[in-house]
Amino acid sequence: MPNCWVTSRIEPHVISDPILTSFDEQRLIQLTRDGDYDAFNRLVVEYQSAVFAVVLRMVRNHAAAEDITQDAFISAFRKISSYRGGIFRAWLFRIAKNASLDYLRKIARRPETSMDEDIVYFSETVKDDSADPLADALNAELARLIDHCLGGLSEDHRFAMVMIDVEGYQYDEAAESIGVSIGTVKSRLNRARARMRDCVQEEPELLPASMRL
Amino acid sequence: MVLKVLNRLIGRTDSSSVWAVNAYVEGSASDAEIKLVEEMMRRDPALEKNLSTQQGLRDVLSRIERVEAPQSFAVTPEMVAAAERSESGLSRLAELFAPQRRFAMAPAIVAVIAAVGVALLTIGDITGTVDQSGSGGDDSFTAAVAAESAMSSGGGSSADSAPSMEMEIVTESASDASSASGFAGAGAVAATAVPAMAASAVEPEQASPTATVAQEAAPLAPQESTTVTEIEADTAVTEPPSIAAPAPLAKSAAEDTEASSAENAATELELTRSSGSSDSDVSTDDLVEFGVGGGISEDAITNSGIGDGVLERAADGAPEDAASGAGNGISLPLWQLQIALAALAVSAIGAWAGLRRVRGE
Repeated sequence: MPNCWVTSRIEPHVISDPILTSFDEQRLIQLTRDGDYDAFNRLVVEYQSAVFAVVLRMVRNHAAAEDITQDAFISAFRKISSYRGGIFRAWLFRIAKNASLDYLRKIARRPETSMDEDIVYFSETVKDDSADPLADALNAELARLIDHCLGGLSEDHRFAMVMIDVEGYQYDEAAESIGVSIGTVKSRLNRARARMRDCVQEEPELLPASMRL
Repeated sequence: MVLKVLNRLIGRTDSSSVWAVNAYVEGSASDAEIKLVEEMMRRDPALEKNLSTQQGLRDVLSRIERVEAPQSFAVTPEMVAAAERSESGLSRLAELFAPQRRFAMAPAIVAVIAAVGVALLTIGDITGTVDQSGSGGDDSFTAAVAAESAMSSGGGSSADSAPSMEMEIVTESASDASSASGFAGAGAVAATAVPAMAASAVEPEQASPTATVAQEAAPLAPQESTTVTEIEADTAVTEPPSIAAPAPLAKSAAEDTEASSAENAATELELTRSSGSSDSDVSTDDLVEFGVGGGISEDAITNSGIGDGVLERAADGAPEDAASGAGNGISLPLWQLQIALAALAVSAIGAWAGLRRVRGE
């Protein structure tokens, strides 16, 4: 389905260009530089879930995450000339991360804004193969606890943990996304894990036996 | 080893152990890393349980279901146009400095030059190459920069072997304070061959104001030659100048000084050659002292293009020539110059980082 990425936001049309139907990232980037929206939207389709997931886990607010993701892609289109090689997805992540940080700083200046409205986004999302309802309930509680602890991390530590441990990206991509060295990412992740461990230990009854001290 | 001791002192773990722990938790540790972690576990029995907890935590995190985009985030021309309309002036400015743009590196270059300038001034101050001495009140500073490279290369003769030479233009003006006030009427300007390092200084003498322009011209020639010109204007300055005027201002002020000197007559050119630096007829208290070590090569002065004729013209009413060497100079006390350059460096770095941030990079 060549135009599967086209949504109601834009006029649907059939993409006949074989470059756009196959995924040649560098060619699509080049076409985007020439102002080709179709080419860029092909990249959007490829990466929108990844970007949205990271943004959501950073800002912990579904509506805000949608806005930030959209703004990030618009910004990426406008600033495509500043992309100078490297992992394109990491470049997108960096734009999205900065937009997320702007949002977090903005709401930090306006304390009346609630960050808790979507705080349970992790709940019921920890996969468990068992059909045990009790296990499911515990997993939901565990997800809530993890969400709480993740939200307590600093932005830098949270981003490192989301990128590596939650989303499963490699260190080099995470480093490029954050704009720091791999060593810095490893250090941040190490500290983030230690803080998460301390945090989840506050409610040991929710932890699996293997995780209890 | 030293790093490990320091890390231990400040409670930090060194990077190799951090990386080994990370790899161990992720299950991707090499044999060497496993050995290192096991060694750490032997030293700290609680570490094993901690790492086990981290492994469990990572396992839970990795089991969180992937998030799918709830909608398409495709970009349309209308969205881009709306974003451009709402874009601030700052954003537009930031775009000028975007990578691959003409001015992309400009703030960084400015920061580097300013930082180098601060460093060189500071080093020069410490080593005495740049001389800063108070000669009046707290506001009085004298800075002179010696271009030792010019000394050694000027005219192809060494500084030690060349006869030391000091040229002075002494302009005496009995009165007319207004002619000199407002610019560096009593200022000493020292220009060096180092770009962006034109260190200058003002030596205000409220009681007996003395205008001293010391220029150390090392123009384009690779054999940077050095000329020291000192103008002593015996003018009454009502307030100590802190910033000397650039060339045009210096010119007009010098013309004023000349006009007043017509009234008061005495314009005097002294060209003093001396083998020692303290043999001048002019009081050294009123003059900027250049810490040039072995003196200035005569050849260097000859090659500088500002020879006797220039000095004569300067005394005869061509002040622009006399001031030309100081035309590029900003005359600031050394410490102010250092602070200004440091502030410039910090500002440029801040601007560079801020513009990157505005661009969302």
